[in-house]
Amino acid sequence: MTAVLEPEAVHRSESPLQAEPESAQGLESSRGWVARHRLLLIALVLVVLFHGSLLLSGSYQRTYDAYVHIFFADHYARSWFSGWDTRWYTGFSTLSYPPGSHYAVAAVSKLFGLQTGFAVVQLGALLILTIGVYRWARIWVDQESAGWAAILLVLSSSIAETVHVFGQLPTTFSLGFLLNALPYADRWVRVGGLRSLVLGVVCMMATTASHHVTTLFGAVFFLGPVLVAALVAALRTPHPDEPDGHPARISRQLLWPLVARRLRRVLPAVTRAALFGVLVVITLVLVVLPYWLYSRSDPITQVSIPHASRDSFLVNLNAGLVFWLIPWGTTLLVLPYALVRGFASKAWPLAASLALLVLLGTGGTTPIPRLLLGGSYNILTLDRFTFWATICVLPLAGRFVKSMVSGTIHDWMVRQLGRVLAVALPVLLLVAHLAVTLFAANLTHYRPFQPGTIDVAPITAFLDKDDHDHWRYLTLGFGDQMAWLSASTTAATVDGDYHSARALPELTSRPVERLENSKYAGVPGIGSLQQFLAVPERYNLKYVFSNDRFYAPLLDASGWTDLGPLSNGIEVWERADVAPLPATDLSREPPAWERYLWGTVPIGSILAALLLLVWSACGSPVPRWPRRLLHSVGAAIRALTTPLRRMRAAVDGKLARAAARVPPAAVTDPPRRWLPGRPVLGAVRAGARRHVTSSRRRRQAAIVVGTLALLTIGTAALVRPVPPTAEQVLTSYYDDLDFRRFGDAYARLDPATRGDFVQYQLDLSADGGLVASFAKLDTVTLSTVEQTPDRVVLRSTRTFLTSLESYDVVDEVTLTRGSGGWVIELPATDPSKPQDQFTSRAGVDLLAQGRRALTSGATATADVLDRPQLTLTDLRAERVSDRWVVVGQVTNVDVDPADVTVQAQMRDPNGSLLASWDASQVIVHKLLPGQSTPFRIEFQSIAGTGAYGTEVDGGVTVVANGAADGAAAGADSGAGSQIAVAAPTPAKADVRGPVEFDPRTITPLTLPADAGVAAVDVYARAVVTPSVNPPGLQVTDVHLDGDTLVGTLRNDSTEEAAVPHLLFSYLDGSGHLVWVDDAYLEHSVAAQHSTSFRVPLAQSATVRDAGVPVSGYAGPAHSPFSQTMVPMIPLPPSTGFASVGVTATSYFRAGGL
Amino acid sequence: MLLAVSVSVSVSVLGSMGPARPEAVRSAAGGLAVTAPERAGAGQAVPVQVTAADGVDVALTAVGSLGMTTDHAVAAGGTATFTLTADVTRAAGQITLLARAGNASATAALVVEPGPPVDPITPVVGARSIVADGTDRSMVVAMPSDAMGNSIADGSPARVFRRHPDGRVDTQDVTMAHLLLWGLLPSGTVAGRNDVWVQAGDATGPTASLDEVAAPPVPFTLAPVDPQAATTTVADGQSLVSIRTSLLADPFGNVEPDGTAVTFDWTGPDGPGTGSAVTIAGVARMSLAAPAIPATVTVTASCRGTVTPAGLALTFASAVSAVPVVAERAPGGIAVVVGPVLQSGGAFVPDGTMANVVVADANTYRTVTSGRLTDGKVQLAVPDDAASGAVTVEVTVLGTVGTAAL
Repeated sequence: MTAVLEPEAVHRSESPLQAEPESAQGLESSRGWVARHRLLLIALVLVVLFHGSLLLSGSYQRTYDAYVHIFFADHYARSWFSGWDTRWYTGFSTLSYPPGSHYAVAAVSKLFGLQTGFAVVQLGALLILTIGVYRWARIWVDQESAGWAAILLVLSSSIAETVHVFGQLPTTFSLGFLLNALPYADRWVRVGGLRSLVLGVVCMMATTASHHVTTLFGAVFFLGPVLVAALVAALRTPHPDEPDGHPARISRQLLWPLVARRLRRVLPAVTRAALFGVLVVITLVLVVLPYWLYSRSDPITQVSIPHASRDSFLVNLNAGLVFWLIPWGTTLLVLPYALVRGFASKAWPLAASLALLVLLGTGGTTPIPRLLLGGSYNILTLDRFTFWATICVLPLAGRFVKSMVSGTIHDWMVRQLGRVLAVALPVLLLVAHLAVTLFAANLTHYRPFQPGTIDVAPITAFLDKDDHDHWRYLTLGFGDQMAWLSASTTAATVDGDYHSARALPELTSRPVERLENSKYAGVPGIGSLQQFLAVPERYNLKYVFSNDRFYAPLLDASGWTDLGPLSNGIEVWERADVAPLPATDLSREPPAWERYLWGTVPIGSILAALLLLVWSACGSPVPRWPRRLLHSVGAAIRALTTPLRRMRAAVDGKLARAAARVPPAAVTDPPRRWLPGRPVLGAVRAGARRHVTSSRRRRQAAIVVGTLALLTIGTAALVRPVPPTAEQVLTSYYDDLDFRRFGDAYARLDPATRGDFVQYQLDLSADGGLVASFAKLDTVTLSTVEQTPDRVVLRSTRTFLTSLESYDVVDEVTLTRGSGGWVIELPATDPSKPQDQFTSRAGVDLLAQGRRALTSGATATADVLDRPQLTLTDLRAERVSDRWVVVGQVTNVDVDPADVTVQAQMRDPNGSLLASWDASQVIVHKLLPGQSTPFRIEFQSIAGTGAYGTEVDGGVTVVANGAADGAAAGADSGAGSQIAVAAPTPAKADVRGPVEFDPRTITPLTLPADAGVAAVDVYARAVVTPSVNPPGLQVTDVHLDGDTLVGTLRNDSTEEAAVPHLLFSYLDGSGHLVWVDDAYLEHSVAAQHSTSFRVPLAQSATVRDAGVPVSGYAGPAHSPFSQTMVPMIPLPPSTGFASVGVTATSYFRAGGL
Repeated sequence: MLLAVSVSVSVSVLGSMGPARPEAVRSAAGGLAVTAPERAGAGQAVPVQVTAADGVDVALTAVGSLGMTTDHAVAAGGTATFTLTADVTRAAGQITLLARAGNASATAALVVEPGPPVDPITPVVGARSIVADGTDRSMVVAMPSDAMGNSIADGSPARVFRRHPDGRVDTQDVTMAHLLLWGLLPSGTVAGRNDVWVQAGDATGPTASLDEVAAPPVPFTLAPVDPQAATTTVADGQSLVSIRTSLLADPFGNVEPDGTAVTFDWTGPDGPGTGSAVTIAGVARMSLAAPAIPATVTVTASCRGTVTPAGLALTFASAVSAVPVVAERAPGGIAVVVGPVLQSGGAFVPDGTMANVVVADANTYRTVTSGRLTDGKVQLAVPDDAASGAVTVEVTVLGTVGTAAL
């Protein structure tokens, strides 16, 4: 690296990045306040007009985080000094997040309400931030450049995205105070002054109050450069009594005097910087002391949640767009200038900070951030570094704008390109900048990150009535609006929207941010949800509000009852027989002193900072009586620090005496300083100053215009639609179907052979099955079967994800090339029609209602119906590849329809409970009088904590690298209908986005090594239900085709069987139940229609009796009857079973008998 | 503990309701003497007199089931007079009266007796449904109380009324014990709704319901709903035959409740089948699809553990007498034209009827394909790359075979 020396005289002044002529500074200072700060005022007006209007119009409602902060604000609005909220995660500590901004919203909400209060506080935070950027930029650049920096902040895509896409309030709130603290810190270190110290520290307190992370990292990336620059400036600023100049040659005798001279200059600043640093650390601890105590007592031991900001942006382009390209926007063009200018000036600490932030903000694109951050890498969201980088660059970017408008760059462009282009190019850049910013601010319109707006009022009304809030609820498909629902009710959900505060091991042990969006969280996500739905009584979970029908089949199969939609379209699901929350719910409120500290100090810090900033802006007037008080305090401090000051004077005297030995100025050469970027800047400037001939200028202008034109044409060419290939047409067709764009899908069919659109829609509507209606198309793989120039046959493999399992659908589709491009030839539809146009089936309607009068009181005892009597038969505990499984049959021997819950409990020789689990999907939960169902219970561990196997074959253990465990998977592969044991596809190492998953995976129970299983108890209980499926499903023509069971499912009812589900009871030679298997059919069966099924036979090779006594408890039954298993067909001996019976059930969307 | 005292007092004063007795209990100590009735009805105002020197401030504390109250009065004419209001005497049990004046004190006891029962006496029946087999039973429980909410005295007589499904009303005399009235409700043999209510003294209350339901049915039979139609339905794979059970009733003739599941099992030419239906007015009906080839289908049924002793045999005749087939070589294979396939009456077979085509040569070539008939016809293209020599085309529609040769 080349060290460049330049005259020290240039740096004597406190002038910014580029020293302005003294006349200019004098002119500037002579202008009025408004004129001097006109750019800042423009920036503030822009904040109100641009961001204010967007905020007040509700842009935050579509963001990620706004509702979370509103929820916290609601907590404090309801109970200012509370540190415990029972509404999320079965209770969590609100001390887990600094409360400053939340208290601010809570306070403002008393005037405007929560949502408007949030918008008002966010707007206020942006105003403070704008002022902060302006004031902080003045440390580095001149006033005009600082003004441009403020304007750039307001119009930056980074702020637009942070506020209007991410909805981050604490970030903007705290950063504003941090930046406002820095000028005081700078002044304090340079020249001292109690006022600067107090203001700086109080502003840092306000920063910590809102977001301690901003203080922690801000100390490194914002405060650090300021202190370094101040210390360097002090190092280079001669002491008043110091002789001027510098010796040309440094002899050995002069070494100590020169060092002493520098030490004498810098020691006071170092002392002040150290004091400031110590005070910052103290305030960081004290302001949010309860948070640190909470962190120590309840450390975050959760599994890291994947975040796309840690992905490689070259692989995950979407992450790169959202977390890097959009926040940088056109500012990226200025980055090289900023780095060169920064490193070539006294702003090099800022440039160094900027460079580091830029590097860290690239996430997993390079290994450097991981190396630098170490263990913190996996818990930090690295987009925050990019955000800080886009703030850090602002002073230098402001300098760039100033230079482009009226400075060196402008002159250079005029010289090189002519006046027209010198004006046109900045205008073009401005337009591009505004376009990117507007795009970022409105990104949620183009690409919604949240579901459509949900009116939560009907949900809160539902929760409020009839004691529904005595149970917990769960939302599905709400996005972050679940936080708004939570803020609107006092009812509790087992889920939550602030994952750091999760307490349940079922949540902390897996990388699932929320159950609410579990379908995007891979195996742990959907597995976790399946477990919560399977054993809801553990969590007093009774209601599910679903905004995503993806989950409907899972809910129905797990025994939940669809109560129908509320007026806002949200589907309500209920699980019967779940105990309400205990009346004495455990509250873990922190000690009173912590709560009072929490409720006063942070918000007090913010108020103090605001008051002091206003006071400072007004010229720091001090009335007489406080002045006396301050004088007294100052005197006391001086008296207390007298020994220190004497010590400092002694040291200073010693250093002064040593420094006095430096020769006089007459023999000095101009001191030279080390600036690594100066050669680059010098070369650029030298090139820019060269004379440009008019012909060359015209040539260069033509090149620029030509380049712009080529760019325009190239862009147009890129976006110009080109005829899609056959593969693209077919892929687009499937996409259209997936997103229900039936008109677009129809347009891709061959006009010559397709029917009319109405018929096409009818054909599509004929199948409302698991894949057609409740699945998400994951991938499409195409291969060519036949191809001629005008005809191609493609084999498509579509992988669909459902909440129950994933499906590969293989089709062969013919496409022909017509005048308008490739079109799809759909195969002929099945012309079969039902026998009768009008069908009647008699049924029984059921209704459950209390006899009490309309009242808001609890259910009367007299309204409680008898529990239906059940019997348990054929109970058997089995081991399947070291897993514990219980099978059996439960029968409703009563005369009322029963909603059945079957639970198995495993006990050791002492009778202690080892594990328990419920029959979830492999059972028919709603039983008519006299009806039986086989069931299978898989004991499970917490999802996401181990290797997975498919539930259908019993959860075969697979090793972590995805290869099946030989003893387990190999031998067990035939134990179920879904033979292939699909290990979860490991996510790509550099991508943490939505991952592939197999919803049929479970986490088998792992018992302690010393645990001995002595007995298994099975309990069956039921409540009367009016929600039973209509009878009429018929399994016919069952026969074997090799190792496959083949048959037909006919729906003789009058409702569509949306998700048919078959249970297979495998019997031994004596007619006893040995194994229960199940399969979901891919297609629905319309009323009076049939569909065929093919299900692989189970194999008994790995199923063995557990050798543990099994007891069944179903309560007394007065007239139990023998309900023997009825085998349908015998099986070959090779299967290990004697026969199999089939039970059909289904999810009926209409529901009810 | 207070409750236990109250109970014992109530038992001891059974039937002793009425106005406060004038009999006085005197307890004198230190110059004080308390005069109060020995017994009083719940909710009655009770006068209490404390003998003390004139001008002395006397404090009277009443400690009862609901807590403690204290009142003050200045003695005049040698007596301080107090009145225990209804608020103090509303709870049955013993009230201890403690009078104090300076260091002197005196006590007395007052027993508060529950009043007569008042409306409503709410009966609770459980189990709410029992089997009408003459052996099952349920129970009715009630907690009659007086106007003040005190449970009436143990041993108080009461009567349980039960209206049976046949309209007959019988009664059962019970007595109050341990704060409860209860009585057993044995089942009869007639299913239906029972109404149960309780009367004590002049008080009564609403009815509670008790359902007597049918036991599992006795063996039953199956039959076609329309016997004529059952004999004429052909094996077209689509037509439906409706079958029904006989009346499902238990040994006492009680009809199975609506909604009781009945499982039907049958064996057809392509394998067994199973389906279910529910009873309505004791009868379950199910529609069975005709097989796609001529055959006899045997149906059995079961309900609540009872299986039909004999199966119902349904015979389905062939729907098609002939399958016209035309096969000819065409570019890329063999074009097979099936149809028109007509039913016995001359109409097309139903659209969607499957035509299974087997193309084979004299050697090993054999290709199987299928198509669905529309308007009785279907045209199929069968590749014949591997075929050699004479080729036979065999088409099966609804069990009837047609052939063509090339």
